Amino acid sequence: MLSYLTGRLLALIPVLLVVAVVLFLLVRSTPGDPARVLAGEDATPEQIKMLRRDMGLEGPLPAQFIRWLGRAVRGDLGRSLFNRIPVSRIIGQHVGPTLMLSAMAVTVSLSIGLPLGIVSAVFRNSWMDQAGLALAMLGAAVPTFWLGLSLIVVFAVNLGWLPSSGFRSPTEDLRRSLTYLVLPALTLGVPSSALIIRFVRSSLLDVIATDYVRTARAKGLGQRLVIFRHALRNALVPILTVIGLTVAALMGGAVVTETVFAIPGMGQLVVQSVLRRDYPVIQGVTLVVATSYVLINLGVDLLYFVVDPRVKY
Amino acid sequence: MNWARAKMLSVFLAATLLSLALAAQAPAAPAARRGGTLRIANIGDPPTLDMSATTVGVTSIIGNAIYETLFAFDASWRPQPHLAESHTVSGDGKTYTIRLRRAVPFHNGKEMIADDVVASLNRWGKVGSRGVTAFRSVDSVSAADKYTVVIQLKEPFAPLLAFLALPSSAATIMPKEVAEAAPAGPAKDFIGTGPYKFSEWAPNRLIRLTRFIGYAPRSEAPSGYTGKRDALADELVFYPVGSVATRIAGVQSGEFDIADAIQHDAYVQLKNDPRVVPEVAPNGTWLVFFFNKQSGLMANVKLRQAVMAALDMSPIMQATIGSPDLYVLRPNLYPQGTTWYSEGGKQWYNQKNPERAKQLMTEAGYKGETVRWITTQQFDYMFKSSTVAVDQLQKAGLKMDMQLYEWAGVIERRAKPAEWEIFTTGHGFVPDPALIDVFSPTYPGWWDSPRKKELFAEFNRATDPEARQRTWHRLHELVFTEGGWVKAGEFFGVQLRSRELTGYKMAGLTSIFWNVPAVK
Repeated sequence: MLSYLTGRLLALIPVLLVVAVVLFLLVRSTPGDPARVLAGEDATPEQIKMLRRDMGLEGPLPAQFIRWLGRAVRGDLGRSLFNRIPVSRIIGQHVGPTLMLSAMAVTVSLSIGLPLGIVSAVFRNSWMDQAGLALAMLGAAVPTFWLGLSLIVVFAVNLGWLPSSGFRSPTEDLRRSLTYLVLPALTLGVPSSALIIRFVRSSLLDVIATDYVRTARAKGLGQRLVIFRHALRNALVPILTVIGLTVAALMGGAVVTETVFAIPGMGQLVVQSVLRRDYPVIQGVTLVVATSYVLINLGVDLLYFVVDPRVKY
Repeated sequence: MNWARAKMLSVFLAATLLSLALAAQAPAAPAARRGGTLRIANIGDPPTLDMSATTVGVTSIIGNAIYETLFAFDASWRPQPHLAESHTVSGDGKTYTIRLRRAVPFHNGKEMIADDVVASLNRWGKVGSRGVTAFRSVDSVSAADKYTVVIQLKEPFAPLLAFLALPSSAATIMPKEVAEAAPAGPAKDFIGTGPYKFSEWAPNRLIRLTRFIGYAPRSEAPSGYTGKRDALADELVFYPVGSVATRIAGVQSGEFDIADAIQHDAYVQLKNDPRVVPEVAPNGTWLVFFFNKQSGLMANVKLRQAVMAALDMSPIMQATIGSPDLYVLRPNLYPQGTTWYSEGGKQWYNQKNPERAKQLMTEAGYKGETVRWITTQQFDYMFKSSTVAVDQLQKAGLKMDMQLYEWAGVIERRAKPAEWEIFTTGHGFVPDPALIDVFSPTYPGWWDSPRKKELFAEFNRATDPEARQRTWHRLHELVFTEGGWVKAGEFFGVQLRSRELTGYKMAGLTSIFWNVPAVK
């Protein structure tokens, strides 16, 4: 087990190196120049040259990359080219909102997806199953920005129950902070619950068809016991995979939702930095997201081990 | 005196006495409400708050409350002393002696003196695009004494005060040590003399400014950007809200007091919404298509004239802006009734004559080469107007290739003469024609013909206002005859405010948040 863990963690190093190199090359070869973005419309060529030097963008690319990598391995991701704040601090400021939003969105999608998925599977081909599937289709088809804006119009503008956009720190006022996240969490959670409904249903149906479930039923066990103790537990492995992937994707920032609701999370950070060509921030964020992606996958793999004793590492 | 007249007189007397008595009892005009927070939704986070180092609009919107300049524009767009007390110009127009106001503190508590002004202006001459332009005529800036600054010019430069007053790439005055610590890029500390001081920047979340208690206001009544500035609200908080629909919803739901950059197609609906008021900019933004005059196809003036001949501006502006309340079709760069109004070259505007265009293309020796038009979808108006114009030119017989990039990509590409023929942009109102980009030989498009050089130099040298006006008419015409750019039309920006925020009006250059009482 320990050697498995060490192996997986060591495998992170080449993954991150490849991500760093590919990203560095991709970002730098995209047209666009941060000095021009900063100086604005009318900047003269001399000004741009001076500003590029000031931003540390001079010199050959390989030299710049090695300089950046040298600092990165010591934990120094550099500073934003624009507001000069250290990248690690900027990421720290943006990770909180994204974590909170992800947690709430996953809660929403699980509390919709799990029960509906189970009902669909247990009452297969009934009207409840059809309704659940229709709901899942609808959830998957609705564009996020439309859902987000509709929720804002109904709950913030017309009813005035919830704030329309923004973010408040939970350390200032937890309750208020949560009210700001309700609409974005619904926007993110409802569509991803569609995926969970489908997965729970199909995975549960597979298990329900197995011999041991039939045996359990033949023993005279009640429906609830059969489903929850025997079937669901064995159906959990693929469901966990989906949940893990959803969380990992959310960690990269729900770009559209964060933009619609003006939430200062990782998604907004990535978009802003890319539009401005804030190279150190783009590189730093991507490394952090790649790392968390790998770690979440590792976490899911470890959870398989917990839910299914047959899994051995 | 007959009875009727006596009666009338007594009634009049009684009325006068009554009104005098009422006037004596009436309370004095209520003092403006103080306190509270103004919450403003911007299109995004600014790249910096240092408005001397950039022309980016969001920076000016916020920076304008933090920083001040020696001169500022009044309501008639004349530069008036602001941090300056007064100024004199020598007879040859080459020496400006500027006396500073005394006891004006910076946000760090230090008094502003001539040394700070010298350091700030010298830095502006290097890091601000407007400063770089102005400093081509500047020989030296020096301190004559603690409160007097002398700007020595190489040659007369009539628009100097307008350059010093502009709140974009602005000649802001900051402490000497702050200016000297950032000789090549944006300042690292945001310290000015304005009514609000910088307090907090949480990237992508908010920027907070708080009232500067030690602020030294002028005593004159406010006019435009001049006169008394009073920080009525305790705080200004700027939120970056990328989605325009969310900015609008935020004002409707009371989350924000003001939202910047509202899309034009929402205007009519918002005008009928009882919760909000759409504010229309007093000055238009010129929608312009710049030609590459340095190299490639459009270096040929005949071909530029062909483009001008072919375009039909009405469908372009209609498709771009929509509501006729929000745009005008006119050749003049400045509206009627203003100092710089000119009709020079108006017959070249909005010709919608594809036949003439074809003839000019033949004269130009055009053989079906590709015309590259670069633009972006990031700004809706650029994309829409380019789409219609490209279609019109295609129909007139030019082979068009519309290339789409992100705005950052457009900015980079348009700096390379080999990569494009035409690009689209918006040019904000500027109070002095010397500030118009098309005349700058370094601005992409690079208009530097001998005739333009000569006229523009004459315009900048002339110290007599009437002589400047005469030259301006010729320069105005030259923009058409030589095809410096094509102005498609003029549109007006829209901001949204909550109906309760009655003290706010959209200003001509950048937003003014002083003298505005907060709602809560």
